[in-house]
Amino acid sequence: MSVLLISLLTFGCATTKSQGDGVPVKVYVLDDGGKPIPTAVVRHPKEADRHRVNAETGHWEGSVLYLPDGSELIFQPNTSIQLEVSAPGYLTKVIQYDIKKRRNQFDVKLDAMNLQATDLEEPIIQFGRDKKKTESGGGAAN
Amino acid sequence: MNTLKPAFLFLMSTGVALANGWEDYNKAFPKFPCPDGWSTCDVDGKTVGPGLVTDSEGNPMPANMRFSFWGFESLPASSPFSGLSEYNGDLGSREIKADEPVAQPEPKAPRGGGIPDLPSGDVVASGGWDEPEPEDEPADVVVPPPAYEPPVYEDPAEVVPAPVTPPPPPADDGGGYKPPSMAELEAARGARSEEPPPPPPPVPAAIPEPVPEPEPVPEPEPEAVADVALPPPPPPAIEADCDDLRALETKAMLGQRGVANRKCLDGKLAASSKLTSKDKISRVLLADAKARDDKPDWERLMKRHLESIDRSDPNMCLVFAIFLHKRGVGKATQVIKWSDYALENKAKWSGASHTRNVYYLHQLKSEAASRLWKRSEKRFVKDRNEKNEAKASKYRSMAKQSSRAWLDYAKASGKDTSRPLAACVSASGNTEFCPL
Repeated sequence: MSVLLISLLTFGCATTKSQGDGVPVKVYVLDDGGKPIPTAVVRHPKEADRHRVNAETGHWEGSVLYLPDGSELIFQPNTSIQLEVSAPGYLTKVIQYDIKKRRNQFDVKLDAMNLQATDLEEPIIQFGRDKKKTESGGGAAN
Repeated sequence: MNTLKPAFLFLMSTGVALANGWEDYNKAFPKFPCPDGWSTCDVDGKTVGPGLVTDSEGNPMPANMRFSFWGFESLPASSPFSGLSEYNGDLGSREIKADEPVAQPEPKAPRGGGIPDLPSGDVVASGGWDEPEPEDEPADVVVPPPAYEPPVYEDPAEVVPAPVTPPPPPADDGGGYKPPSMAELEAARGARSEEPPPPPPPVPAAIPEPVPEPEPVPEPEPEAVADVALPPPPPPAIEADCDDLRALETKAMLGQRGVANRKCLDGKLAASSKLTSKDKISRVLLADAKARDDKPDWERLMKRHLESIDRSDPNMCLVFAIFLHKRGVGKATQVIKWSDYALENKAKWSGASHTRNVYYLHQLKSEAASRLWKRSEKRFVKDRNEKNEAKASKYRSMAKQSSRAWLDYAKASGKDTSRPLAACVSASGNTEFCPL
């Protein structure tokens, strides 16, 4: 009985902390006013897919990324990861983050992009004029 | 001797075979050699009959030949216009039929102005007039068929020309010429044999209706003129004010054209069939609306110009795209549309204006697509379904492509690349897609 109890305890400890699990990293994407951007996405430069943030809180959380070549990118403490944070109508930011053992949670503020082309110089619309017939060109090709 | 016999027999048989009969000489003896169709006639004192005539050299010729075969001199039958010779023989109980006017059918109204009238005294054979010609056919000269019996005048001085009725106006029933019926012709013949021919009955259609005389205008009394105040002068005719477009351009640039003038130009534009005229008028109206700062009217006029008159002017497309871009995301698709039209005709620009305007057009397209993408993403976040997701993906792709094109053009033309780069990276989410 005592042997069984010891073995269960040993296996239980082993499953709670496996070698392949990464540290969870949480990114909050906010605008200039500190409000969450519901349409923001987070993506690793080597990743094919983009990860949408939570529309209510504006955050994305992950501990591992799956790359197009089939490999896994596990967030390990004392390592650095690069993330591209973007949203429609905002300037994209590329951030570098050093993963810690715990409390990997940070904000990314995006600057709004100016989509108002107000500085465009309008050309002048000419009045209709009859063009003079050119006397130099024309005629059938030989 | 043996050879002479067959030869003799052959000559005898062929001589008989080649002999002609009298019927082969019919052409030499025509039955009706006279030019008017008779069998015998007197021409210049010579009697022409079915026999032969001789030319000046004595060569016999058929009587109906007009010119001599040998000397080409004229023969008695040369003139086709000679009339019937007078008959001086005993008529017995018969009498020469006088040339009397017959109840004429309605002469056709002259068409085309230069059509000669029919000879009034001639009897027109009804064979050629059975079918009335439609009024709308081209005016042809109606030549009556040659009369079989030309009129015989005893003395031209005594011949009284038949009264010529003026050509009637087209009948109201639209029938045109109607030939007289056989009963009417017979009745006319009977009446002619009993009494001298009456003048042709007046054709009711030929009688012009009396023109109603204008009512006499009562002359105003001089005293009343002094008392009554003059009415205000009528407003000037608006048609006269918008004929000279050149003169209107200055006023249009200042926005000083009134409503009446604008309506006049609008009417001219609607009535004009040439696109070049429409284009000129529309540009004047646009300049006026721009100067008045009447944006709704300017937008309406510009839309009409580009959609129904001409969209080949890249300046107009660019100006309209800029205007719509300022209106917000609701006009973003229109911005892309008119920017594309302007880019189609970008070759009309040159030099610095070309570079600047093309840069503007790429910018407009990119920003409009980014706006659409932003809106569709918001909709998708609110309502996550496949349709909204597809729209978001579509507009993101559009923004990605247009911003990349903007970036590429900015790099190629040496323009500022910061904004196109930001738009490109934002849409693609990937810095590798947007290299500098």
